[in-house]
Amino acid sequence: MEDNNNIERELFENAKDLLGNEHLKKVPFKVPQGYFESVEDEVRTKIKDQTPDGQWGLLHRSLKAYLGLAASFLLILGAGWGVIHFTKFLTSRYQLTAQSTIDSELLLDSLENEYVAGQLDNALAESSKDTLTIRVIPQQAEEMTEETAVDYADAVQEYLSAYPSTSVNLASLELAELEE
Amino acid sequence: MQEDSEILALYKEEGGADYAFNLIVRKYSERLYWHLRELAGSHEDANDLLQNALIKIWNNLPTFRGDSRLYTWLYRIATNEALTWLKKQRFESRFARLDFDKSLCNKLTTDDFFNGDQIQLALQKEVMQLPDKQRAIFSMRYFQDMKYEEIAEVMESNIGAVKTSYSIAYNKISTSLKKKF
Repeated sequence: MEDNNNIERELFENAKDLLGNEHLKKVPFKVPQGYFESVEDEVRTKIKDQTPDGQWGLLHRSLKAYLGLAASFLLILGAGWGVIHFTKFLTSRYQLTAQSTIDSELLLDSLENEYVAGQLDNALAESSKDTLTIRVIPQQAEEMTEETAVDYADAVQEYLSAYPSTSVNLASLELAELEE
Repeated sequence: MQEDSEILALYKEEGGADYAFNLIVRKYSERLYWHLRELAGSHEDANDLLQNALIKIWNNLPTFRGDSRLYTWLYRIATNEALTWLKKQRFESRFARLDFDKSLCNKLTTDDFFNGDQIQLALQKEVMQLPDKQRAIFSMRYFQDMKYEEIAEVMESNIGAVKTSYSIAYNKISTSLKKKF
């Protein structure tokens, strides 16, 4: 405890780059005694339980069958509700354009928005050094309702504004009718 | 400890598959576990992910062509296992109207297997709040000290994107920790 308190005091005093301290790079977790020694045997047992086609044992497959039936029933109910609720929006489709100065396709991947496929233009390939244009366009097969398009715009804006860097600049975010 | 090339050669020998796989488990399971621990948030979940990943590795070894290093291939399988699991957890949480990120942070606070200090706990909470892929990159670079080139192979991305993602995560966490301490 005494050592931990000393380490903490040193870290606070050298706050210029906390993350640079080697102490923080140590993983602060432990495992049950003998855990790593038991992994090999446990995995081997599970592999042996697999049937020749790579699936689990009979009990598991039966369970999957029953769960699949239950899931199908719920899906049919849900689809019925969805048809009634969303058909009024099927007449409009939206194209969402977002511009920002972030340089990473992974950032958009990280948004994990289930309604929108990401498309990234890398401005580094062009003359601009630090500016990147990101166009995010819904998948052609998807039809965004007005509500979900607005949700997405909010998510993009919030995500981009979360990074405290002068290079992050949301130039514009607009929703427009898709050009047919 | 055998080199990866030796393990792969042994795997291809008649009757060598089982022993080669055991060597892979002995050489890599601990490192893969700690990587998955950073993503999963609890020992139980990290253990499940590790076992599933090792089983997938066993099932896919016959198709490993050597296009990438064995090491990064193993990490790719483990990372994808975790990312898929996280996506599923988030989807199910949304359906149940639960805040999954908050629940991950709460797990840390009550984790019996956490044996760090307050600042390490604060760091772990910050890491838990990163987007999933960014967290994977941060974990591999910061805690596992992997090279950017290796991480790019694992994430099937390019070095520039990986560096940027790590840099943003690093700055975000650093700024947040400075505000707290």
